[in-house]
Amino acid sequence: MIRFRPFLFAALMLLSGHAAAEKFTIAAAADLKFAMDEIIARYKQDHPADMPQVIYGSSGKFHTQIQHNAPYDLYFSADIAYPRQLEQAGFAASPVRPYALGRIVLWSASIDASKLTLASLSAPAIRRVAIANPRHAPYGKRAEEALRASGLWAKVEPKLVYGENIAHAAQFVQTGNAQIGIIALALALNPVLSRQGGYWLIPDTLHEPLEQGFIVTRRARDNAAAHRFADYMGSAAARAVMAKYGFVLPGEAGKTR
Amino acid sequence: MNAPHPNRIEARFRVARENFTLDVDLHLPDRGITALFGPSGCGKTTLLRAIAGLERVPGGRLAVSGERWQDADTFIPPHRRALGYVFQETSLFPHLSVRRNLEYGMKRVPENERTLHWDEVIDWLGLAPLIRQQPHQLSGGQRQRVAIGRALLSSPRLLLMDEPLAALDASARAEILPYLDQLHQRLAIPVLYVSHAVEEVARLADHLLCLEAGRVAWQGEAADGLARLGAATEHSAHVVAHEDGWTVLEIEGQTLRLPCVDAKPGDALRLRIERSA
Amino acid sequence: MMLSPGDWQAVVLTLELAAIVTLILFVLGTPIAWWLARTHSKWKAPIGAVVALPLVLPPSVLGFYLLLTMGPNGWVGQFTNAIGIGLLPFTFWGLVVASVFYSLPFMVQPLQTAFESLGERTLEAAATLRASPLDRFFSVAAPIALPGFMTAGILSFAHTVGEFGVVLMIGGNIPGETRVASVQIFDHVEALQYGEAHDLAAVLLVFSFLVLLLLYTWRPKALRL
Repeated sequence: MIRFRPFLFAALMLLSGHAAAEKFTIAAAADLKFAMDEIIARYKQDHPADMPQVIYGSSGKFHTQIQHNAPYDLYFSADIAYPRQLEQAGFAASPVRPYALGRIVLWSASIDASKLTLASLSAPAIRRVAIANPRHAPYGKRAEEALRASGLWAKVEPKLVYGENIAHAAQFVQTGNAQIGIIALALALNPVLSRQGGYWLIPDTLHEPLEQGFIVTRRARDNAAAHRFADYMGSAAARAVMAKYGFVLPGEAGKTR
Repeated sequence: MNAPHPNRIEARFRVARENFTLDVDLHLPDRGITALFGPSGCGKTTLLRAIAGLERVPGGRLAVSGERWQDADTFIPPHRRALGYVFQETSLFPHLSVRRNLEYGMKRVPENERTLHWDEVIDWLGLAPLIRQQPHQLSGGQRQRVAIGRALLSSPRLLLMDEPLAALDASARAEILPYLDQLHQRLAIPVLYVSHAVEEVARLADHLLCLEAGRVAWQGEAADGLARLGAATEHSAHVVAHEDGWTVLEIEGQTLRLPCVDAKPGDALRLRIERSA
Repeated sequence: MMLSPGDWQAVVLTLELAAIVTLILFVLGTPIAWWLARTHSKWKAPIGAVVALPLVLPPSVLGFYLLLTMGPNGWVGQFTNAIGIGLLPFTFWGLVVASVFYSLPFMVQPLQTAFESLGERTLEAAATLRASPLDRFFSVAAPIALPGFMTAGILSFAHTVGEFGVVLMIGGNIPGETRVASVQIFDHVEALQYGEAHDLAAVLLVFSFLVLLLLYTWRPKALRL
């Protein structure tokens, strides 16, 4: 419903003979769920003729799909390695642009996670810990790295349940089926989840940086609106939204609260 | 409440159906063959099913040879009633051989309660050549013989037969009737035999109960009843064709040939059937 | 073709799950099918519709509701916690419960069809031959409906093997516990391990084909669900 209205609006404009409307589709990593919705809403105010559409999912899956000509015009990956591979393979119509550094947090819906540390995960009261699947989800990889770096992997691994992507892992925690999860800061800061529990920021010294990047895909090389949106990501407005959701922005080294 | 009569079948049932209301209070002898006679839809089958307990009639009463099967606070389920039931259409178990079909009821009766024995039943009904076959290999008449044998081998104290010959053709009926005659002579248990065929009633019945629209119209000795019945049975028929000196009549869905009748095809006739002497 | 130990584990787990679910469904589905086939109750249509729901519901809907009800705040979760068996999501038995729901129509519908075609007369004949209701069921109804039981068992088993969405929603992807073959294939694809995905997918493909071939050869009409 939320994204239906702009469509309707744009469709009416088309009918009234307004020519400049251009559609494009964004494939975005699941951690961008709330930030991207807000950025698109602002973008629409500035560019009412453009018709962006966004799909959230796991970065790895989008990577595979774009190689098989999925109809995505922009690809925002939680791991910059994926768009780099695509660029090398000739699937990109723009250079890879870093757009944020992601952070991971401990988050719980039932207990105040802000008073916890990673070591708390080994307590017997914590029976299930949700993370994204490290085999293909960047946030899951970083969660595993942080647990290994703090020497907790052996104790925590038997408690792990794996979500398909970071939003899925957060859902396991939100429904209470896992007491705690390691999720993206961006999700923990969203209006719904931030009302519950609380979060504890995992030090970024414990894992490789979650460098995130995006590209305009090859199919969109002549899509002016897609390029327009790519440029918009560098604007002050977009950066403000990203910062609000806990992303560290390129060129603003490590100052998160 | 009076104690049930030891030598009678006492049945009182009232069932409201869409097209009729069965309302009977019967006192039948508990020996010999009693024919329940009447046109289709007069409630014969409903009565038989109520007696078997297959149809649960609230408020009904039933006692057989002094044993209460149903009254205000008793309802013996069919599988605990010592009765045999022969259905109009074939009811053999398709997954069991003829032998296993015959044994089905017998095995479920303790040996010391069996009153009819394997050899006699097989012999009376001429079942020996059929025993190794499967039900689907049998003709319609053979199937009904097996079904009768199966019912008898469960040593019933009351045998209920619901138009057992109605689904058979004329030759199968002719084949099976002599066996039923045999039963008539040898069986010591009462039989309730539902039929709308006068010839079967004439040949088999000792007692007769005529049902009309759910009520008993007449009951008594079969010989007396048949005389009345003869006077009473009139059928409307119409002429179908003339063939080689015969007139073909259509009578209640059946075809009847008579020596040449003076009527044109399509004419309506009224046939009156009387028993001679 | 070589499967890795992890893949074998997923295959074995899948077969275990399907076997247990099928057994439970025989016990649970038979009385439901029997009741549906014979009742004239006004509840027949609503109950029949509920049983058939998984045929049309997306697995994600079922998985979502199961995750909520079996979680610590759901009534099933509070019940299982109270009787001391803990919470069902992320456990093998949680998958069993979910699969029983999900595969229920595949058990009930073929059985119901088989029971409906039995005919009242055959059972009444057995009743007049001293067979109690339970005796009638085992000596007459069940043997005659045997092909229906075979169809129902095979379909339930195969459908459980092919389950994915519900498992993904409530399984948590734990090796040896809830990581069944279909999820393992999904992970291989997501991790760009196409070779492994191919091998395991081929195993499932061949298995499913053989099951259906068996069914169609033996009972060509069996799949008229």
